[in-house]
Amino acid sequence: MKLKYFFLLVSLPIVLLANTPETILKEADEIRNPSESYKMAVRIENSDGTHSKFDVMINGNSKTLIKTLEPIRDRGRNLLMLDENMWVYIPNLKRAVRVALSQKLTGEAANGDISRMRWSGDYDVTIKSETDHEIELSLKAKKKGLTYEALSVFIERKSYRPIRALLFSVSGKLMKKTSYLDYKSMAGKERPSRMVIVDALMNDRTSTIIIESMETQTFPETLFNQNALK
Amino acid sequence: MILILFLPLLNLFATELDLGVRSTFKSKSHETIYNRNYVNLRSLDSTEKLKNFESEIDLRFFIDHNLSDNQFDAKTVALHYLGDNFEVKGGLLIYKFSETFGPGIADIVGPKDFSDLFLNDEEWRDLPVPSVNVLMMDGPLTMQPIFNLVTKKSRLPARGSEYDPYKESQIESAPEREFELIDDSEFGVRIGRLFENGIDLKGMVFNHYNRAPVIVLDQSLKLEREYKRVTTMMINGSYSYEESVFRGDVVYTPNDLVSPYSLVKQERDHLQSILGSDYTYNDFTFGIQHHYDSVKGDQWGSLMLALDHFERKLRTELLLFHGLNNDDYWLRPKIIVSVSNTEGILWCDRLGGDLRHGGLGYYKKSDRMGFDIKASF
Repeated sequence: MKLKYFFLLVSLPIVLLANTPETILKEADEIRNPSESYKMAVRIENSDGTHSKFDVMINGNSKTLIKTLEPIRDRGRNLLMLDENMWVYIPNLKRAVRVALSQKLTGEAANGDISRMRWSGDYDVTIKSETDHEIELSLKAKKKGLTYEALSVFIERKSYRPIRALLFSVSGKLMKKTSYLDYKSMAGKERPSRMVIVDALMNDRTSTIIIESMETQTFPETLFNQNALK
Repeated sequence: MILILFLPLLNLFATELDLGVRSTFKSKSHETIYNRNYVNLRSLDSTEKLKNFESEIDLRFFIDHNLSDNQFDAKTVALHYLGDNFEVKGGLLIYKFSETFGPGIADIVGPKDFSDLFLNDEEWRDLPVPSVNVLMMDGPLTMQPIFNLVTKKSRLPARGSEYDPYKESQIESAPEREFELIDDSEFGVRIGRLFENGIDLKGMVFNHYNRAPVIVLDQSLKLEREYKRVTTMMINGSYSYEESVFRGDVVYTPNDLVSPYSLVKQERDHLQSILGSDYTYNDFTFGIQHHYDSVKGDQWGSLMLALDHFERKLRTELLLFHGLNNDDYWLRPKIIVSVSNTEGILWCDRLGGDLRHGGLGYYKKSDRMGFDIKASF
């Protein structure tokens, strides 16, 4: 009998923790990408037929280096993110220029869509609604300068996989809708390999972020400074 | 055709190659100012055997049909050593420290090409210097000691060329001073911090020879370029708030050697500043800047409008630079078209002002148009 109570006492906080919005969001982040440092090859296809290719090196949620490979006219237009701050290297100027995280990268994709890929820590989260198979989380920015001011993220109840998200501006206006598709085994887990971003006003304007490869890798600190942007 | 012979070099050592032609000509007389065919070769490589080492090569070869010199610029030839928290870089290096756009007042570490004043793109204007620097990082703090092995002079307009201020005169130029390795070295340190609130602030002290050209008449009545060793202190920073970015450069040189008027030299405390902001929303950028130079107390304002179309395949830009307490002006409309791996740029520069105030009045007959077409591989 005593043993039964003991197990109940031990398992109660675990059960409670597992269902908090914060832990659900962390679980969804763990599925989207690894928490340690990793490298991705990313291709973005836009509805107007254009496409871009990037090598993305991420160290935690605060340091990202993006090397632009295609189109050739944008080659060398590399991006560095440190916390909520971002710089872009302009090949014609031969120097790094400060830009905003929410600034457009290509098509419907913003700089932050591939440089800052974890929600926990950046957003206050609450459960907005629940059904048998999905949970809707409401995310409000804790910090200034994030890519989106607020999000509604729909998570699959049994697996914590992110299914789709609605992205809102500072004024609360719905800007974009995102879907997380094609789960594949990458960097040791089943992760979404395709993220489709649709303009909320003009539904025919879309960008698809395709993660072609993802692998964990460590990088020296010096990689994440403005001098490394060349 | 000759430039196409450079294509095999792409496979040999370069990872990027541009073949292009760049020309400028006077708007009124259609007389050519310069007409260049150029090749850029770039490579940034690390080898498996030397994992912490990286080599960087950026070379430009050009044939200028109006000039017989300057046919090769080694823009960067450098070796990097990447440690965990530090980086050592040595070779021919270009330093770019300005946060603001335009004259690059904070780019004091290396020389510049003033062959056509400040009208050239930064890519063509900045010249390298043989130098060594160490970048040390500790969280948000950075420290970068810099040592230039020898002073490199900025390139001035060739005598008799369009932007030579003495092209009308018959005065000869005196031989240029030659700088000695180590004896005429330059050195300094730059310290930076990225604060939690997003302010990125950098401070620098640098001992160097004056960068702005000072030309006087020597005893034999020849044009002589004068130099003086000075110490410059500067602060620059940036801050981003939503779609806006605020930038600033403040540069102070006590007892600088300056030339307030033609053929006049003076030693004065010299303060320069550029403060500005730009706002970007989707494909539209709007920027404003305030420029100040204490030599004659001149102030200028600049405004830049840019609009990208068709996923940056077409970009239209308008730059207006105007004196606030003088009559200087510089207007530059520009169109950039990118198709596949080819880029074409078309622009014109309209200059004007009063000779007594500001500095652009002298060049008001030198309005020009230009184009640049390049293919990248």
